[in-house]
Order: sequence, then C-alpha cells, then structure tokens
Amino acid sequence: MDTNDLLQAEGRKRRAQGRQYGIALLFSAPYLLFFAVFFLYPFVKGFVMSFFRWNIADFSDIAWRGLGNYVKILFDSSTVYFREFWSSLGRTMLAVAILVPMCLLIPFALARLIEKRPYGKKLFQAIIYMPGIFPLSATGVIFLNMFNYEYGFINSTFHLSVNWLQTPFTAWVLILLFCVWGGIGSNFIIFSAALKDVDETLYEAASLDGCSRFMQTFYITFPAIRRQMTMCLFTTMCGYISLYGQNYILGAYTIPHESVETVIYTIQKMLQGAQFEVYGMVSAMAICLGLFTAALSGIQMLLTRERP
Amino acid sequence: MPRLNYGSKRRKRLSKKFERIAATILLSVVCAVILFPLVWGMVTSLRDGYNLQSHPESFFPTEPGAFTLENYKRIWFSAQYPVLHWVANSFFVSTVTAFLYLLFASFIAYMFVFLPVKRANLLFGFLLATMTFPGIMTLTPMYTQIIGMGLKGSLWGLILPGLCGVYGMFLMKQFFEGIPRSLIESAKMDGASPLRIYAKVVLPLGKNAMMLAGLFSFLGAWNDLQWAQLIVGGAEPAKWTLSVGLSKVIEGTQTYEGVGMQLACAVVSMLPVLILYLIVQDKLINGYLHSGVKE
Repeated sequence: MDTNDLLQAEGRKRRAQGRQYGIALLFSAPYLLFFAVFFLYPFVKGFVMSFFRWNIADFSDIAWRGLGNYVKILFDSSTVYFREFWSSLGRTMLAVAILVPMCLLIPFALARLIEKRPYGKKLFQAIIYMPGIFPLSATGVIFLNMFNYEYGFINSTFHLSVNWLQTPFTAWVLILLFCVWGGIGSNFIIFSAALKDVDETLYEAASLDGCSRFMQTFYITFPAIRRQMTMCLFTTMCGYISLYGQNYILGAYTIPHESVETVIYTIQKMLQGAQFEVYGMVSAMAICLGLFTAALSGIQMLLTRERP
Repeated sequence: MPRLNYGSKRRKRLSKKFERIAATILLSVVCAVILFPLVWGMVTSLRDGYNLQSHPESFFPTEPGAFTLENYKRIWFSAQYPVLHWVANSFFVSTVTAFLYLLFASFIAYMFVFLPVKRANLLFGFLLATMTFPGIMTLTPMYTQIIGMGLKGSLWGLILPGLCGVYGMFLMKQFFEGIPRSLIESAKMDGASPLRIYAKVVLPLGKNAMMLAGLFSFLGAWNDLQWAQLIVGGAEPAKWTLSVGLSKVIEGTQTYEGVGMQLACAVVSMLPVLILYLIVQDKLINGYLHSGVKE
C-alpha cells in the first residue's frame, strides 16, 4: 500500500466521519432549536433581566440595577416585594412542611396494603393514581362546589355551617386536602414497586427473632426502600414549592385573598398585572425561588445516585 | 412433629388470607373516598339546579325528573362560555404539542443511541442537568419572548414552549437503548438510511416508550393552567383552553344554575383524560416505574 492509498483511505474516513456528524446534526437540530429558543435563551435572559429595571412597555425605561432587585426582595423590609416574597414564601413552606410527610406516609401505607395482594389489586392501583391525571382546574371546581357554604354536599349532609372557601384557615385545609387527594399517586406507585424488591426472607428471619410488625417496618422496610424514599421526599418537596393551581382555584373566594398566595401565585399575579416595569424584579424573585429548588434537586441527585 | 408443622403452615396460610381480606376492605374504603368527589361531580353535573337547591344533602337527584342533560346543552350553546371552542383549542394544543414533541424528541433520542458522534453524551448530560432547574426560572423571560414574537393570545404560544421538555426525550432514549444493536446493524448492512432505520426499526419497537412520552406531553398541555392563563387568559373567551375556561367560570357569585354548568365543564375537560387513562393505564403505571425518574 503506498502513501497515496493511505491518504485516500484517511480522506474517506474523514468524509465518513463528517457525514456521520451531518446526519447526527440533522436528527438533533429540530429539538435543539426549540431547546435553545425556549429554554436556554430564556434561562440566560432571566438572569440578565434580574439585574435590571426592566419595563416591557417602554424600552427606554431599562436601567442597570446590579444586585439591587435581589437586595430589595430579600432584605429591604420597606418594599412591597420584600413583604410579598417573604409572606408568600412562609405560606408556601408551611404548606410544604405539612404536605411532604403526608404525601410520603399515606402512599407508603397504601403501598404496604397493596403488598398484601388484596383482591382487585390492579383496580385499587388505578384508582389511587387517577386523581392526579385530571386538570387541576376541573377537579378543583368539583371540590369548590362540594364545599360550598350554601348548597355544598359536605355542609348540608353533615349539617355544618363552615364557610370553607372564605375563611383562610379552612380554605387552606381544603387546599391541603386537595393536594393530598391528587398528589399521592406517583409516590404510591414508586413505593409499591420498591416494596416488591424487598427480600421476603428478611421479614421471616426478623419475625423468628421476635421482631414485631411495627419494628419490622422501621428496621427492614424503611432501610430497604431508602433510595426511593429520598427521591420521593425531594421531588415532592420541589413539586409543592411551586404550588399554584390548587390555590388559584380553591382560594378563589378567600378573604383576605393574600392569605392563599404562594410564591408562584405572587409571581403570576405580577406578570398578569398592569405594571410593566416590574419584570426585572419578578425575574429576580423567580430566580431566588428557582435556585433554592434547584439546590434541593441537586442534593437529591447526590443522595440518590446509583453507587457502583 | 409433622402434624405440628402442618398446623403452623395452615395457620400461616389462614393469617395470609385474613391479611388479604383486611387489605381489600381497607383499600375499598380508601378508594371510595378518593372516587367520591369525582362521582359527586359527575352525578351533580346531570342534576337540575332547583333539585339541588331543595335537597343539597342528597347525593343523587331526589326524583327521576331531576336527572337532566340541560347543563351540558347549556354550556354547549353558551355565548358566555363557548365550551366547544375550549374543547377544540385544548385538543388542538395538546395533540399538536404531543405530536411535534414526539417527532423531534424521538429524533434526538435516536441520535443519542444509534448515531453516537463524539461528545454526544456530553450534550445528553447537559440536557439532563437542566432538569434540575424548575420552570419558574424561565417563566418571565419566556413570557416577554412570546409577547415579542407576537404569539400572546395565540395557541402557538402554548404549543412551542412545550416542545423542549427533557423528560420524555430521556424516557425514549432509555427505551431505545434496549433495542438490539444487531437489528440496526443488519439494517445498515442492507443499505438502509438512518431515516429508514428510524422509521422501520426504531419506531415500531419503541412504540411503548413513545406512547408514554406522548401521553405525558399530551396531559401536560391539556392540564396546563399557569402558562395558558398568561398567554391566552387575557384574550377573548373563544381563545381559551378548557383549563383557563374552568378557572374563569368560577369567577363571580355562585348560583344554583351555575353549579351544574360549572360541573359539566369540569366533566367535559376530564372525560378525554379519563378515556386515555383507561386505555393506557397499565402502560402508564409500568412505564412510570421503569423510567427510573420522576418528572
């Protein structure tokens, strides 16, 4: 083989490689285009906006703020942004603190029951997962009418006169109930799959050693499904930090209305409002919440990554 | 000794049986509670408003005549709440989103698995890492961008941002990896082009994953409230999706005639989802498990 042949072979190889790249590019281009336009660009722009006073109605009214927006939101108690952010964050976190244990323990208990192979297991599984697939606004409207003060089924059947939707406390009770009702499905499915993989002989050995059912749960079941538990803990937490729809629908008649506003609700309200100069501020607020959530997801990834 | 052994086995089997029955009873109660609001909503959507007013404590209409399709007829022809438009809009947005997403995302998933060029896995890792950041971080700039593109008030403003999700793409990639390489190699030997291999080998074999990813995409678009409120919520009612429409029908004071109409709207927006769920329920639950991650 002389040099010419080698060169030709080399050229062919390069061309084939180039062609390979071309084809790969063709296959990935449509997706990457949308990803760039509707994720990457807005993602970067969000940070940029958060450093400015940004008026979408008037392009001359855009001014560098540096960290000013963040300082106002996080530390300047004289501004409305500070008050709205911290009070809505407080409400959101309280809801998260109540919802997360419920959305872990109830699905866990249900998964334990499913593990006993009840009759109609598949049907039960399908029903438990079902509420979460429907539009929040649809199921929310049903709850709204069921708990109506005058004609609601709950008040008239149990002879109550609770103004569920108007009082902040009861409205929150309803919102939390609604969240649990619609939110246990996915954790339930994950737990029931995890329980299937727990070694049966461990339970048998434990009961021979006189370990009670209750203790078995603590010493065998929880450690065995630790990974799934951690995953669900964090995804549930991150999910409810962005609580919005449930509060929008079920908090529709609550007085004062701020009492049902979560952080996302506050952001959404600002975007829908007629103040066009607050977009930098809104962006900064979203980034504060977003980075917090992202940090939680990051921790989750570290904790649950598969070890070799 | 053998008799004793037999006895304890029998006792064990009996206690297993007892456990099954107890679990069945408990789960029946739980499922009845879960289903209750859904069933109440459906039944009451078929109920006359005056009957509800006089007997709100009754689960069913108190007389046969109070069963009526009036609420559905009314929302069908309502000028205030053009539900037909909402249904059409929701269907348009959800099916177009799911279809385009499946097309584009399966292309790139195919690339990652079967056309591995240098540094493709780096790109994949990057895409996966972006899932850490919640949607709220891009909400404001995306909103101003959609306004800038002149898509505010347009259904395309709902569709386009829905095409860059990572989760469904990830699902499909995972699944495609299970397709035997030998099939692809032999198709290549036969001189099939990548596009042909995609269409004739990967699509038929990856059907399940695609169905699942498509379903998630469809449901995501169908159920979306927050983004739709921003984009079409300010437009005239004929532009709304079902979700937005539902968030508007509850505005104002509640009346007895209103209840049935609201619930009828709710049922209309739940029915397609319910039908889809009944068809693919098994695949959905199983696929959800095998994907290894949550949304």
